[in-house]
Amino acid sequence: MNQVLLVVAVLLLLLVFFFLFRVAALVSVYIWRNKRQGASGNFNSWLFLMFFIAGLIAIYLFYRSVRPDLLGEPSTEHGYWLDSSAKLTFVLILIVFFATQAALALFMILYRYDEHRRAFFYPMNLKLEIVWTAIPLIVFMGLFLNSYVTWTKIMEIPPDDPVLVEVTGMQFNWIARYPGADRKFGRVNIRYINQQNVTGLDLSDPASLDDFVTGEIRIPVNRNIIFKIRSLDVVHSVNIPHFRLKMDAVPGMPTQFAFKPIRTTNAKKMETSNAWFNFSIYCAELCGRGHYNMKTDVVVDEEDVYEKWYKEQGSWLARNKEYLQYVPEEYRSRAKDIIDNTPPETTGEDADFFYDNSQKLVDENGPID
Amino acid sequence: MDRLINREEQEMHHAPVSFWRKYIFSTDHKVIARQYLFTGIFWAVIGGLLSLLIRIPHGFPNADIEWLKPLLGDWILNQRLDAEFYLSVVTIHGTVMVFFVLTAGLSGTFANFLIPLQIGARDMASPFINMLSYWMFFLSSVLMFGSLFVETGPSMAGWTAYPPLSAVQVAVSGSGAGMTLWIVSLIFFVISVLLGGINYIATVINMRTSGMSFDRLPLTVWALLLTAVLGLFSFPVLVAAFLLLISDRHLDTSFFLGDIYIDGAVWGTPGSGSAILYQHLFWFLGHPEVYIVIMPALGIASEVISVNARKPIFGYLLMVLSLAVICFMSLLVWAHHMFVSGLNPFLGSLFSLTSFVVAVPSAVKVFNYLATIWRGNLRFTPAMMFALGLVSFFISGGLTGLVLANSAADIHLHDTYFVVAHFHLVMGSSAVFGFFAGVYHWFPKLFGRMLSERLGYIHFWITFAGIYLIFFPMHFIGWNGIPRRYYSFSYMENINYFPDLNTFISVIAIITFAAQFIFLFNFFYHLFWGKPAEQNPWRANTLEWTTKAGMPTHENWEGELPAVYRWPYDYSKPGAEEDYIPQNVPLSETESSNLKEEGIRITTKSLRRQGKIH
Repeated sequence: MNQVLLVVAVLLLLLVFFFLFRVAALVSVYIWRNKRQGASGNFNSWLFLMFFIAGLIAIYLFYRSVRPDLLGEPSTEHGYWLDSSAKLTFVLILIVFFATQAALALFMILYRYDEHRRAFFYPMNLKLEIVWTAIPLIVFMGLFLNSYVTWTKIMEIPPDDPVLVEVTGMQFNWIARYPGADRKFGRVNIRYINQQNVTGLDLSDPASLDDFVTGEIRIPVNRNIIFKIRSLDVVHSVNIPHFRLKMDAVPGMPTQFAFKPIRTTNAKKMETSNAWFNFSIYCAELCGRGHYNMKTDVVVDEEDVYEKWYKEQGSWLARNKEYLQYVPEEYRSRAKDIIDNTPPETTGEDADFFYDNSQKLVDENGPID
Repeated sequence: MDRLINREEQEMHHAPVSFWRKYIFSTDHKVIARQYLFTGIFWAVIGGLLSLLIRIPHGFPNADIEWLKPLLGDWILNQRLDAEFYLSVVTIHGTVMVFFVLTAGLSGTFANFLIPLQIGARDMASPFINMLSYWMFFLSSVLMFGSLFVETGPSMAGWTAYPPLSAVQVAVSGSGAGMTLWIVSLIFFVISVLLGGINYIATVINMRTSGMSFDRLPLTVWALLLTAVLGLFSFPVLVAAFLLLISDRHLDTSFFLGDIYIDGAVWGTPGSGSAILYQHLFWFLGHPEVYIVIMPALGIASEVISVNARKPIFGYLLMVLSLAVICFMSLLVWAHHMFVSGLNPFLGSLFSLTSFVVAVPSAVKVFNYLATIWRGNLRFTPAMMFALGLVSFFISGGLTGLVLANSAADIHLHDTYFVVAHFHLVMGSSAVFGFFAGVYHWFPKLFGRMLSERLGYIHFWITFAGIYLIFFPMHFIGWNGIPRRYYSFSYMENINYFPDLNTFISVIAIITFAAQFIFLFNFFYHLFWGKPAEQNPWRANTLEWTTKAGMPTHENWEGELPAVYRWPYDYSKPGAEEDYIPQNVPLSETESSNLKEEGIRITTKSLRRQGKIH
């Protein structure tokens, strides 16, 4: 397939060259016949106008054909604010784009070289300059105000009881930590990080005892969510295009992004008639070899489904009982309570198979094809 | 003083010049300009080839590229480009294009060539420092080229080289020796830019010929002067950032390393450094750098458009002022690259404001270009076509800059293909077109011969159409949130990444790159076998066309330096015999066309009062 494409590309290239040389030869005959400076003006200026008109048609047809493939409505509340601000800017720049490019193309036709004519000696008009300094300034300030209002609204942290999720980026994966039953995050410390305690949970803080860590990110619909964003290693970026959400994950400097999802994953599956649809975080800051596949799904559930799931998650401590020794004496009974009240781990379907040393997919019975 | 030395004495003074002193370690600004030009072209070919490598995985994700093995060796893994090497390709493409091609190749060539010739000087203020500047660039080039052959790969951290990726060697294999060479190379590069810059500034201020007041400088010289000033303000900050980065990499300091855990170990001192600090330092150069790239191109366009429109540039004063405002404002917009880096949202809105403001002088420049060609007498030389193409790209790319200056919209578009489309149009392609316009326009002076116009038009049309076809669709890919610097989109099954469109873009990229060989053929063939150039083939006013036909001599002007009596834009002046009056023609010889006010003091009102326009 690709070889065919390559061959087609090369053939097209040759064809283009052939025609251009042909056209150029004809033009040179014309130039030779009208031996004066700038005779190629006609050819080039008409070609420019044709390019402009063909470009307009192409842009229109292209836009019409890709429109259904564009991202569509956002799935968060702030996404609508963002889209309308972007739309305003787009409409404005499109008008200026067509006006200025049309002027360029028209002037090239109207004022092409003519040896019997002289250019209009017109070096300065202060009034005009003031006008076209002031108008862009006013328009741009209008755009800025619109952007400022939208940006401040998006960046605002909602005061009322938000759902907290800590999203941590690492080469090349995202994991989430939830504050557990007390809805309060425990302290973390980089010195405690290891293969097991990936988030560096500091168990001397009682708030950390019920925190749970999971590879899947779930959030409830129609609630204010705050992503507390961390990175373990290099700079990553939480980027969820369907949410119009992006915020860098910076090691040593937690960042955050508040938003409110308004569509559940299931609703979106129906909408796109795609059973495999999922919202996903796609890393947006260059982070190394696996940058392009640093992707984790974000599931938006109805609130009751979410709460049920939330309660089923065992705290990190309950899943790593050997860490009980790091819990200070005074909280140990509390920790034991939490461990005892944690339901046993349900085996997820993804735990049944794994990669062996030679990177082959296997389950307990042997290799899977 | 030069003016007192007569010709024989000069020739005696310069008689025994060896090949090495004449062509290699030359202090002649024209030879140095040609050295910059050739080195720039060399890097442009490398950078262009790298851009094709970037397009392979997107255009032809399943293509078997085993045939590239002789060139790329182990970086071809299982018939595909290695995912890590892809990052090197992206990084080196960006670095080479921004610094080596569009800073050194464009600014270095034309600042060296045009400043002395257009202000009427025999050479730079310090020809030796000028030579040093080129050789620092050469050294930098050698180091960068060498880094391509390092076993662990060239730098893979992007042209921005954000730490910790660039600082911690286990984070990515390119952050080993490749990164060390990259940093050292760029430090030499900055030294080269600074040496060149102080020289350009000193030359323009001190070496102008008699009568060449600042309000009579051609706009190219203004643009190159302000570019040099901007470089002096911003480039040292990059060196500061790099020195701290070197220190973090090799001396166990922790300027940019916060809480970092990679590969079972903690890197740096926990709780001390800040990765964001580097971003501030980098973008304090990084943003002005894009103006350092585009301003010389805009200067070249001003000159080329005015000459070929046979019309004075519209609003000379505003053209200079807008450059100065861009210069100043560009130092205050750096954090618009960091809206979503965790910056305080209030700071974000401040930088959004300054970013909207910096668009105003750019808009003024576009309107002035349009006013210049309005009612002109346009000669479409290849240089003119490229200059007008520059204006077209500058409009298209500049306007999308307004979307990105909108901090709210930028949340969605940051680091996507929308940004790629934006800067490739406004800064990349515009500046490249400025470079082409300059080469086509000044080739008769650079090499004393004429280029083929026909090949020039073919080159223009394929490149112009190609660039629009490549970058315009990228806006749509970017709106879908497809991030930059992705080796493969295979994991994006729930977002349409337009696979067919990506193939189309790659095919066009190949064609556009191939078309550059038309230029290279035109350039190198006519370098030797071109028609010898007349003294002033474009009938232009500036001083470089008053040197002898063909290449200027070592001293630029035989005999005395020309004196200047008028500004460089007396085109189609009412009452004049010809449609141009060179700068060295005294007012006493042009009684019929003289005005009450000359040069930048001409106003519409006074022209009307004198009955010169209606």
